[in-house]
This record gives sequence, structure tokens and C-alpha cells, in this order.
Amino acid sequence: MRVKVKSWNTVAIWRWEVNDDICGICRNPFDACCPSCRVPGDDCPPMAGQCRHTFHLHCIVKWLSSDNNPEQLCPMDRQPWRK
Amino acid sequence: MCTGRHGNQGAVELGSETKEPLLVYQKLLEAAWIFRTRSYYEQEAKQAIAALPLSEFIRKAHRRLEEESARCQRYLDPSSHDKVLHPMITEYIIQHADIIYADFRTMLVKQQQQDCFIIYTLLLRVKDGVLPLQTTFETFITNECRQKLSTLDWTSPKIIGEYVDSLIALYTHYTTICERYFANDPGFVAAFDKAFRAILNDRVKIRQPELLARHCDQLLRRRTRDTAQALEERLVTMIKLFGYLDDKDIFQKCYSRAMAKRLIADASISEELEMTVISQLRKLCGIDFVGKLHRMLTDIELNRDLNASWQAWSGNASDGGGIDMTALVLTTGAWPLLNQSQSQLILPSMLERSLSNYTAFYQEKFTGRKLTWFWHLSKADVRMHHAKRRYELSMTLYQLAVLLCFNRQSQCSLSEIRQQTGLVAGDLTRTAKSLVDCGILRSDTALDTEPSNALLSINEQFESKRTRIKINAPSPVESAQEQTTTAKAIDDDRRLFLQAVIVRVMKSRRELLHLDLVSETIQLATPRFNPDVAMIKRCIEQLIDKQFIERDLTNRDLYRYVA
Repeated sequence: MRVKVKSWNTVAIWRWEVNDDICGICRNPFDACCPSCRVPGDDCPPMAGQCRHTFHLHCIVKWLSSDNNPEQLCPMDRQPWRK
Repeated sequence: MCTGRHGNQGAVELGSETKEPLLVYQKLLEAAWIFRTRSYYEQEAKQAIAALPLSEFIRKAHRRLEEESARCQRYLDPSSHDKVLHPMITEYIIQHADIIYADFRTMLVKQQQQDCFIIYTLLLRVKDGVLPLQTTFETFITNECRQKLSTLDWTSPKIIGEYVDSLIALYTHYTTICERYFANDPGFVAAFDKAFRAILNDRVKIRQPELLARHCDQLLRRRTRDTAQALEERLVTMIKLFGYLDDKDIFQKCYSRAMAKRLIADASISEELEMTVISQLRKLCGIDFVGKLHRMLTDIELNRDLNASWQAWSGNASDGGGIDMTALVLTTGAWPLLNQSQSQLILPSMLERSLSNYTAFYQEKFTGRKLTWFWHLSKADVRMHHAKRRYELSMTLYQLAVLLCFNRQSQCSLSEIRQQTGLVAGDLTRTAKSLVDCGILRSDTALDTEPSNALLSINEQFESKRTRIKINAPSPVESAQEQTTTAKAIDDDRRLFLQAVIVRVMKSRRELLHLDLVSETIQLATPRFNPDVAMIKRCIEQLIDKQFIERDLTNRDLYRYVA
């Protein structure tokens, strides 16, 4: 008997390649979305700063633009946030 | 003079110049008219109810009322109409209401549409007169449906379809009755709704949310003779029935899991119909309810484009080992956990090339994404040379892995196969058994007991008239385990949902008494499921532990939101 493969199809799931499981601001997993989104996926990506702290893009943007944070600091280490 | 012309205009006009213009008319004419009317119809109704069967009696009452009403308009001032008709209604209907109510049920049973309609119109003239009819109607529907449904045979393999067939038949039947007998009177429609809510939440052998979800899945898979339109109508009715469920979240769980399997297996009848169901569900339960379902459908669409560009990419790239590959890459979190298998499959070496090519392609297209492969959902098309014949087989990747062990040798023990494929106990025996069942392999012992020393060999006598063969996938274990995980998942979801609701309520109210908090929580949760008070209490306790809320120090019944 000889068996030769002609074609195959497979299934995968993708998740964000991040160095943390949950967002430090909203505490939701990166595989789920930030509180203002409804569905996980490309529309709600994570974002890491130079300090390697990672948050949902929407969460960190909201934090950086809030009035409580005029110096634009990373909420984890209080250092200036840089992309 | 504002009244119209009628036979006794003169009596009205007599008083037209006085302070109370109608006084003369009322004293001279109206009072006597009303008195005579009452005594006349009192007599007549008494005789009629004694002499006539009820269906004729109500017809007579109806006719007499019409006649009298017309007479009033012809001979009396409009202000008299109701005053004259009222004693008549009393004598004809209210006096005999008990008999009418009692017989109404019989008329429903005998489907006497006309009679029911007449009773309905007669009692409409009496204040709150139709309320007892609505109650009767409600219990009538409930009992009839329960009785019909209880005759079904739960051992039948097609019971789900049959059950839903009966439900839909009953639903359509009583919708028509509502319309024809009671002119879709809102009170009767509400009674109808109440009856169906009771029926859809009865406990039957399979939980009804699950039953409806599974039937939707059956409808949306291929192999059906119905036209697209009939199918769509049926689905829309199913969603209406879904609307009566208390445990909508259970339906959602079952439906999304079935939908995931359906989409991955490419077994859906049409994306348009998938979308119809989603938008119907969305209409009833809001966007949060269908978010993930919608995402799944989008994923499928995205993958179509992705596969097209992968084909172009791999066409340009260096060889993929002569093997075509397609992949379905899904968003984590949007798809319900597809019962992960325990096996760590060792990917057959000839597939590695195409896989690493695909991974390279994917990384080029998207950065910052990690792929996890689901081998247990993968499939392959292969060509098999056997006994001088050529077969085209389609099978699962697990089956392929097992079969490839026999490329080099004609027999293998189960433990050898385990080493070469990485499949573990349950997966291994089930896969091997499926290959034995289709006749390609042979086994020296029965494979049901998972014997690790079983010896498998190629069946030299294997022969098939057809060259294209689809090897049946081993039946998945929809076991008690999956049932309990579903139950647990639903429980967890409910708890999170309740906690979120409680926090939301407390955040807006700041302070609330225990009973008020519980009742508001129930109210907000009901569109999804009927929460259990004990569960709400537990959630409140958990939130106190997590310091979202606190108890008042003096009044232990009062909660306070902790900002």
C-alpha cells in the first residue's frame, strides 16, 4: 500500500503575541477586547510601550488623553510613555 | 342645536331654550323607553336562554343588540344610546355570563370559530367582560399543546425535528385562531404569548433551548429538500419560539457551538441564511448577544480572501512539496472552545513544508500574531495505491497519520502507532477503529476496550467499486463530559453577567436595600435568563469580598457602592 497526500486543510486560531495575558488597565485578557469594544479581534489590538508594558490600544490611548495624566506616563511604571 | 335629526327631535327641541335643554326629553321619553326596554328584554332573554342552545342564544343576543342600537339611532337623541343599551346588555349577557363563560371552552375545543367570535364581540360590550375569556383561552392553549407534545416518541432518532414540527404547527394554528376568532385583540395575543412562554419553558427530555438550537443547526446544514424561502420562514418562526425561552443564554451557547462546527466543516447551506438568523436574534436580544456569532461569520469571509492571496503567494514561492494546503485562521475568543483534544500530533513530515510556508506567509501578512494549530479539525485528500488499484480518499488528519504508518510496513501495533503519531488513548483507538470499520485496516482484537497490544495490519482484500471514498470521521465523543463543561460554562457566564449587572446598578444608585438590588438585578437579567435568587446573593457576597460594594455598618440590609 502506498499513500500520497494531495491536499489538506487545517484550522488554527490566532492570538496576540504579547508578554502578558491581561491588560493592565482594564484587566481583560488580550484575547478578549477592551471594555468599549464588543468583539475581540483585529479591531481591538494590544500595544506595547518601550517599557514593555502592554495594554489594549484603546485603553492606553484613553489613559494618555485623560486629564489626570498630563505628563503622559505609563500607568505601570510612571515613566514617560514611548511607543 | 348640535344633535342630528331623528324621530323624536321634537321632544328634544322642546327644552332647547332652557338651562338643561335635554331635561324635558329625558323625563318625558327616555326614562320610559329605558324602563320598557329593560322589562321587555328581561322577559325575552329568560325565554331564549331556556329554549335555545347557547350558540343560537348568543346569535339572538347579538342580533337584538344590533337592532336596538339601530333603533336608538333612528328614534332617540345620541346621548341615550348607551343608556338604553346598557340594561339590555345586563339582561342578555351579564345575567347569563356564567353560562357563556362555561360554554366558551367547549366552543374552543370544538373549534366553533363563529361562536367564539360572537361571544368575544358580545363580551367586549361589558367592562372587563373578555378577561375571563382570555384566561380560558390561555389555559386552553397550554393544555392542548402540552397534551399534543406529550404524545411524541422520545426514542425516535428524528425526535428533534418532530418536536419542532409539532411546536411550529401548534404555534401557527393558534396564531390563526387569535387572528380569526379574536381579531388579534391585544389581550388575547398576550394570553397566547403567556401560554407559549409556559410551554417553551416546560422541562422535556432534552432542554428546549438546546433542542431549538440543534434544530436550527440541522436546518442550516446541507441536505434539505426545502426551498430557500420555506427554510427562511421556518428559521424565522424558530426565532419567534426562541423569544419565549427563559434560558436564552443556553440557546446561545448551544447555537454558537453548533455554528462553529458547521462553519469549520464548511457545511453551512448559505451565509445569507446564517446572517438572517443572526439579525433576527439581534432584533430580539441586542448586539451583545450576537457579537461573537457575527465575528465567526466575518472570520470565514476574511479567510476566503486570505486563502486566495495564499494561493497566489504559494504559487510564486518555491515548492510546497507538491501538496496543496488551505487553512482557516480563527480569532481567539470569538469561537467557542472546540473541545481540544489531548493528543500532541506529530505532523506527518510531508506536510511540514507546506505548513512552514503558510506560517511564513501569515507572518508576512500580519505581525504580532501567534498561531495555534487545531490538528483534530484538519482534513486531507490523499491518493492510495492498493492491490493494483488507485483510490482517492478524503479523511481526517488523524486518520492520515495512522494510515501513513503503513506506508513502510504492513503491520503495526497500537503502541507503535502511538509513538509514531503522538495520538493518545481515546483518539488513537477511535481513529484506528474508523479505519478498520471502512475496511482498509484489519485488527486482531476488538478495539473497543483500548488494548495497547492490538496488532493492526493492511487488509489485502480491501476492494471498493468506487474510487472516491470519504472515510467517516470517528464519531466525536459528545460525552457526559462535554455536557458538564457546557453546564459549567453557562454557570460561569451567568455569574459574571450578574456581577456586572449588580456593579452597574450599584454604581448608578450608590446605595440600595437588599431586596431592591435583587429585584433590579432580576429585571435586568431576564432578557437573557431567569436568575436564581441564591445565585444573586452569592454574587453580592463575592462583590463584597472583592470590595466593589460594602454593607452598611448599622443597617445590614443596605449596600453601598465603593468607588
